[in-house]
Amino acid sequence: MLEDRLLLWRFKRGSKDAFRDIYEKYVGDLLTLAANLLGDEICAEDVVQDVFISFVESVGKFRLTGSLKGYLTTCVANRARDYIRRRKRRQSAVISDAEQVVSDERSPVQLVICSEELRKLSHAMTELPYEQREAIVLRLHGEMRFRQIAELQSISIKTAQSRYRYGLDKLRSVLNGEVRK
Amino acid sequence: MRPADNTENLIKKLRYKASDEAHDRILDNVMQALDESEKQKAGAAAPNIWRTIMKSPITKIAAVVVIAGVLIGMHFVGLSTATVTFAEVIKPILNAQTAILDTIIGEEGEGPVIHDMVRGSRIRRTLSNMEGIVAIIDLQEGRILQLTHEKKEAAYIDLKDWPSIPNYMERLRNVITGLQEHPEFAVEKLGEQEIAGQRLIGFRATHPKAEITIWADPETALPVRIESTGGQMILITKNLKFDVPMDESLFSMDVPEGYTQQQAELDLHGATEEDFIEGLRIMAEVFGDGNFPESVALEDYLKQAPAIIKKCEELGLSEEEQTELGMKLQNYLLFIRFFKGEGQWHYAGKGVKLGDADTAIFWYRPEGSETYRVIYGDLRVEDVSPENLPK
Repeated sequence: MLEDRLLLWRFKRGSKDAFRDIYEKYVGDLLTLAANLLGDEICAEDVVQDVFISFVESVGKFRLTGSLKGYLTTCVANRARDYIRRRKRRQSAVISDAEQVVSDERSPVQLVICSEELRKLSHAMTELPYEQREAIVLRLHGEMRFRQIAELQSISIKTAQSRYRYGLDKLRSVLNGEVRK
Repeated sequence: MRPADNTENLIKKLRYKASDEAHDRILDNVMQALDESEKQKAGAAAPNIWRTIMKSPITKIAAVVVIAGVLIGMHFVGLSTATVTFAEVIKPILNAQTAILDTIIGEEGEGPVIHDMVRGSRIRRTLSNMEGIVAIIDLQEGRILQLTHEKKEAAYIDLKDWPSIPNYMERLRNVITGLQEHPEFAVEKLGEQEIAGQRLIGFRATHPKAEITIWADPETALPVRIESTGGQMILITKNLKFDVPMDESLFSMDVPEGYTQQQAELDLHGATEEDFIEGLRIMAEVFGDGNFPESVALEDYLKQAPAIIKKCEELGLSEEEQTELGMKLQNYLLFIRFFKGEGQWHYAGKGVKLGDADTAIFWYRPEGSETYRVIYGDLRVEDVSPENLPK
């Protein structure tokens, strides 16, 4: 937290190295977030790039009131939603298998099983209503609280929790169906 | 049936890894946008802050701490008399040519001790929590020589518009005499009390602009402890010794051999509301983890100064960054130290997060104004009538 504030402070005073540090620190998480929200790697890269460009252009007036990660996560979520709205149709593209990586690589056997499941899960995510997918992604990848998700979606906390739960239930049934096969 | 947390863990594993080319492309595009943005800003011809900073190369964090200490202790000017006994008590102060004293700001035992040696127009000052840094203050010339022995660094600080004081003790005598002649000057005998294990006799002298309590040894009538107020500070002066022989070299304004030398000017009365707000922002953003400081009083800044310096070191701030921070914090402190408003300032920023637009954190009434200036947690400022001030 303090490190972010210092990086931001340096960046605001012209340090490009400080910006590079911010970029390297968060680009991976933001791409994962955007890719899971949009289900499309190219769109995800565009969205994250737009967020960083907007950030550098407005940094002079920028006032950090929470965490930098939280701020960037919210920006990605807003941009992703705008992107979805503009397209006016749901993206169903699945992120290519080659670029889906499993973060837990402790067991090679588990990795194979997980990869099969992850393919299905990734596809199932794109089939969810966007609001449910957004609630799940922001919660699990953006590490947002339900209160923050509710604010972002302009809904009550209860509704945010419901969207998360319904979405999760659907994903679980898809995965269970797959396991039975 | 698969448990919910199992599904959640699987979702967390849906990581996306961009190719190196994609990474480079995004970064290149963003850096290009950054360059464009900077070019546009440069076109707006903002003042060159770095040039300004480099003119004042000593305003680093460490320097600001000493300056703050120097500014605080200057308030040891203001006393009184009325009864024979009280006159006896202040007699050593009035007659002394030299003095050694310790000053504590705020509650005893909490803050650092300012140790002063006074001789003629010069004070040799050290702070208990800033070992290895000495400030020689020349009150006649309005100049401070700050020596950082460990780094062999010396810095002259010229005090802008400083009123020349040829002799500190003489000045003190004149102030006391002036106070005594005021029609509202009064002395109240407090009787004997035990303070810090010592039996002492006390007198409280009041004046419209000052209140001072002097505690003296009942046997010798020598002053032992002085409690006074300066602005919104409480000062405790103790360990007083008078007419102690002191080597002139201790008060030398010459830079020791082998020390690097820097120079700067300090405008004691030049700090503005904007400077203060910028200081609040820095205290919250850089040192407060997003929260405003518990207090903006100088004594509290002094208490946390070593921690601030340590944090700067831990964070690896460059010399330039320390200088810029130091310059800004210096003006933030000066705004409070030489507060120019009517009455008292009020601070309520403890526990408030930077960006909290609903909470007033500081308010004061500028000189000649009927309304108050109120600073909120998002650092906007509004003019507010007295009846609408925060409770």
